[in-house]
Amino acid sequence: MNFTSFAVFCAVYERTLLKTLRRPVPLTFSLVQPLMWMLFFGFLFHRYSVDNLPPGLQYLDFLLPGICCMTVLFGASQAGIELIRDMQTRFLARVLSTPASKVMMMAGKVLADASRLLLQAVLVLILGLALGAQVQLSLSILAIAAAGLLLFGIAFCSLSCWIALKARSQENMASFVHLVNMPLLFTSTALVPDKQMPGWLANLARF
Amino acid sequence: MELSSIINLQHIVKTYSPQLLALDNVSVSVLAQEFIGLTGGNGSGKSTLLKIIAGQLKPNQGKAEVFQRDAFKHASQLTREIGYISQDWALDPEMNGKALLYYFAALYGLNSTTAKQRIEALITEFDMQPFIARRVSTYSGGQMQRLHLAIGVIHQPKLLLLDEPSNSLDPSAKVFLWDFLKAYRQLGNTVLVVSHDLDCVQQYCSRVLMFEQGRIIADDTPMQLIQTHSQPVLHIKTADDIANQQALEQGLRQATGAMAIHCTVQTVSLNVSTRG
Repeated sequence: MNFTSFAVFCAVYERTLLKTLRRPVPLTFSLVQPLMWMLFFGFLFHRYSVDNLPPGLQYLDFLLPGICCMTVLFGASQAGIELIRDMQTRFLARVLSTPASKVMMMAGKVLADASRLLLQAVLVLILGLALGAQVQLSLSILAIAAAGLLLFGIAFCSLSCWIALKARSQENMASFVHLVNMPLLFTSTALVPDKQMPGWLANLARF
Repeated sequence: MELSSIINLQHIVKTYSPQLLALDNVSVSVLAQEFIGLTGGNGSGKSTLLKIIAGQLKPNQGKAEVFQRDAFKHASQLTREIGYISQDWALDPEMNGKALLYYFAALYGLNSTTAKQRIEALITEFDMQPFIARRVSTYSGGQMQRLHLAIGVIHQPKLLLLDEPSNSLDPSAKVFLWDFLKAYRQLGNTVLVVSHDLDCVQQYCSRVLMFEQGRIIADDTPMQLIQTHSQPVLHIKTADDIANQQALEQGLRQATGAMAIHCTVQTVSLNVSTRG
């Protein structure tokens, strides 16, 4: 990577973050939504014991890491919307007519979104701990979790951007978000361990 | 010093659909440092030609070379030497003008020192200081056009292509724009501009290409075109009021064979052909 490519990466990275900060409503909503899940789901099922969990682990403790993943999932699935806006204002066409590396542009955009979502996940973790969830934390666990979430964010932001470039409209993009997010959430082990799921769903989750 | 040809188009045909022929066997060559105006009615093929030169469209037939390279195949390399300024402003309304200039400077590969110097120079030259720190969504049409133009020349292209840049501009903004293009050409660059503003084209351009139905129907200097194509109008003032204007027009038409005859209460105007 030469200096010019790095400068392109930095310019797109900075613009993506700046634009997110200038839209406080979606940013707040993407933080509030996982918190609502944690509050409603967490406290709704907190009274019940969940089988197959290590002794002493409450439902809220189990739920918190899943909600952190959900923060990244929901946020990443919306990453492509910005591209659609740029397409509609023809800004994207103008940007693509420059000699800048398209790979570096996409890398800047995806990494900016993924790193912002990682930060949001950390915030959700802190809020979850403040709500009383108990999670074993060590530096190595945090590093592995952060790396995993970052990779998950990068992958899902890339998918969202690809869909956006194909869909070309916010309505189509919204359909994608709903179509993918919910099944992915319920077939994951974010809300309950797979042993608690019906057989077919557990198989699907393992797949 | 003999100037070299920087654009060479040969037998260009472009169709958007079998029924829609945008360019019909167009051949034209452009020398360095020319200032060319492309005029003609809507849908006559001017913008399509500009997009082919910019490498944004591939012709169905023919050869399009810019700086001795195939315009479409080498489009990404040529973007360093070409500035294409479209009809749409294509600006991000949520960013401020200065941030946008720095953004495009990075995309065009300018290092930070050069970018800073050039952006400051552009802000001064385009008189953007009063508004450049504000968000683009708050700009007036003229301010957006200045920023749009500044972004288009930030990498100092040798060839500047503009598609109807003076649309919706007030008279002073229009004069500013055309003066800028003239000065840009005088720096040794080549300018091609699509415009319906015939007065400005006549005043500023060194050469005019007139389009009609996908063909170039005239290619000359503005002065030569006026001499060749214009017809002087003869105004005859009558001593008395013309009682039946319609009947007089009809009678004159039959007597002279001229179509363009117009009568008012005390005047008869008719086009006088210089060719026959």
